[in-house]
Amino acid sequence: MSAFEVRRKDADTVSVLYLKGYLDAHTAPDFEQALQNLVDENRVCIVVNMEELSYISSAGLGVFMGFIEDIRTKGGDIKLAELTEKVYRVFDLLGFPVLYDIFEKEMEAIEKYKEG
Amino acid sequence: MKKLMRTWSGLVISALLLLLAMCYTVCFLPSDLSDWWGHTIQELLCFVAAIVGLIWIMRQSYFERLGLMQKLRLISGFVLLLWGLIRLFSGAYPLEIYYDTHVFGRQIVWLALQISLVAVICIIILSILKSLAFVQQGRGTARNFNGMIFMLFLVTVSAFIPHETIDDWEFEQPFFFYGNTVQIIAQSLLVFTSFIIGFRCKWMHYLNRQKKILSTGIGIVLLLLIIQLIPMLPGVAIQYSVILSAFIKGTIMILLIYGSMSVWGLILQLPSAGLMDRRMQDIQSLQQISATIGTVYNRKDLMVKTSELALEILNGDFTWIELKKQDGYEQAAISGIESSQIQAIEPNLCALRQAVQEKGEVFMIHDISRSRFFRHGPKWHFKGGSLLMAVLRFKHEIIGFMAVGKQNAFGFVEESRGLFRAFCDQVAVALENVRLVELSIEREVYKEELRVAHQAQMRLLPQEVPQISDLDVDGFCLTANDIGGDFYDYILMSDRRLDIVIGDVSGKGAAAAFYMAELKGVLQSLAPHFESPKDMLVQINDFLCNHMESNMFVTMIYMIFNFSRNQVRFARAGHEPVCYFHDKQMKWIEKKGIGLGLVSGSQFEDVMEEEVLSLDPDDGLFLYTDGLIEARNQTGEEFGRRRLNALLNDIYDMKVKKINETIQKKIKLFCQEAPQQDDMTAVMIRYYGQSE
Repeated sequence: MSAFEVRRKDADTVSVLYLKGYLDAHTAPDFEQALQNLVDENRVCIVVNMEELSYISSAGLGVFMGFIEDIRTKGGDIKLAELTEKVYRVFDLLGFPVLYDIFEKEMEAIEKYKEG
Repeated sequence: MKKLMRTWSGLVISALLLLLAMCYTVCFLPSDLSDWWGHTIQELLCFVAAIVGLIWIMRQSYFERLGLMQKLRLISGFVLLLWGLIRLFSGAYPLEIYYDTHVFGRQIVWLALQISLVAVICIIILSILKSLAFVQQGRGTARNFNGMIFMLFLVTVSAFIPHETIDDWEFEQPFFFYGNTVQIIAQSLLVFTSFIIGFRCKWMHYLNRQKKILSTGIGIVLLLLIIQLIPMLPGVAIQYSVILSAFIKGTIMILLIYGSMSVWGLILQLPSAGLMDRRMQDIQSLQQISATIGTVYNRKDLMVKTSELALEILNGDFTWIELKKQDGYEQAAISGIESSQIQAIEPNLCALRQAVQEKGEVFMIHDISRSRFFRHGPKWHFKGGSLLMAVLRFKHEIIGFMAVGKQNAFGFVEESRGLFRAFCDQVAVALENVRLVELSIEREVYKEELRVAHQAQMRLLPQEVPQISDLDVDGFCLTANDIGGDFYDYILMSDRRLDIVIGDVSGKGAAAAFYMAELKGVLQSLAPHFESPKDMLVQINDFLCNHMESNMFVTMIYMIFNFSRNQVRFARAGHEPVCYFHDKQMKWIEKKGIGLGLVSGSQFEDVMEEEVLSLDPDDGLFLYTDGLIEARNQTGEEFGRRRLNALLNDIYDMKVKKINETIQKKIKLFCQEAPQQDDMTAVMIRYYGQSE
């Protein structure tokens, strides 16, 4: 089972989190911590790049839900980018496309923030 | 019997030969006193008897098997017997008797018997002495002993050589170092070798103080008795046999040397005997510690036993053990002192603990009244006492402290440190064992509770299939942990309406299980009030948004069968799609819908779509949770929707129960030994309908 990894890249006001590997109940706290750090630093314009994410479980999806309200009230957002087909399928089933902006390319998501 | 024969044969043969010599003397000698050959034969018989005896001594090992005290008792007994026998005949028979045939005839029998007996006893004494010298045998012990026996043989054999003073019948000879050069050399060598063997008295180390004192006393008495024999010895036995005389004298010389060296050794050891005992006791105590506290798995019992042992072993008056807790220390055991007395000196103890911890070793306070730790602060009951204190450490981690004290100053010696350290280490290991046992018991309890929870949860799932003539249904739910978040339910409203629901609470374990249980109740109570699955889900969503943590959600499919209209309506809240079998065709139906608890109000409602299907006989519907297609084998490969699709295609016309069984079997086959990661739930429905 591939391990989970979060990397972070800050570009201007936007922060990009790169998820890699297997996001489930065991690894969700890592992702949670990364988001919490951003919120603490008041960097609430967040893009999550999931190009290398191989699996996401319901607990992993829960992490997004746990933060989105707080981040949106602070004027920020979580935008999703570069989802693999399999991961997108999970988001899609659950109805996430209605709730989150999902982009094919990371740049598009960043652009979107700049426009807004 | 055979073994007995082999053990004692040498001694018996030797005794028989002596008896033969005696018979010979009694029967033939009186008739011709000047018969040189007669004398020689008698002496030769005695000589052979002595040789056989000596060989037996070297070869036998009977006495070595006896206990030390048994050996000492035996040798004392035989020495006493020896003394008695020699006393009995010495001086009783003046030289003249040998020539007075009248007396001779009567007395020689006694004389010969006594001397022969003394010779046999000498052989036995030498073998016991061998067993004593062989205690904790060194490399050269056997060689030295055999050397000594050989010298005894030389002394005996050299008695054959006639010397000048033969006419005086040797009465004026000294007890030892007599005769010609050869004899004196042999005798000197015997003394020398006996002296070497005299150093082999390690057995005395195994006596405790009391036994040492006793042995010394008895040894001195026996030594004095033997010394008392010395003046009688020159004349002894010569009247009967020169050979036996030399043999007996030689043996007594050995006995004298070994005896005096042993007694001397014992006397030297007496002052330290108490200390040696103490050491032995220490070793025994440590064995006792591991034997006692190593087998106690109850914390309270362990602490009681430990404090008892600490007081006993270190001769202390009071002791206490304190174990580390999150904040500070907790008294785990206390003896000989009041708990309040220790609490009273807590400020002093803090500093003391610090010092003990820094020192790392056993900390000793010789005089509490002068100690810097007790000079200030509250006055302590035990001022004027002494204290030993050390950390209890397990794998470099400090788990607590142990202290043993005495009411008098300078109550402990430096040597107590080592013992106390060893004691503390044992206690630490025992405490760790207890902790592990407690942990595993706790785990067992949790496991048991989870098992009960699992049973409770399983009862929340449908216990029986609704009895509807139009429809056949079967479901299963396999939880990954003892309790999980998957569920399904049948709600039979009337014979015209049946609701079937399948759901998956995000995450696993207790939190998911609680929501699952709650949902069951909510569904049962809401169902009668709603005709549409979408309305039902909207209602549940509102409920969940208000009651559930924001990072949790539920996916669900709610299905309502209306048998009056041969119709099924369902809506999907973020759940896996529905598989619909119609007219030998398989179709996945995935209507729009967001998971429950993600967004509230109209956003949820606006997105949700509802599906309505008209049912024909033999139509089927299959519902499942994601755990089913995400089941993984050992290589991490998922079972996947494709495999599920193919499998359903193969088996969809089976009976519903059979379909579910086959799916479970196939997934198990696919996963092999890989552990189940997520709950797996599925419901299979087959509509039979009523012919219109």
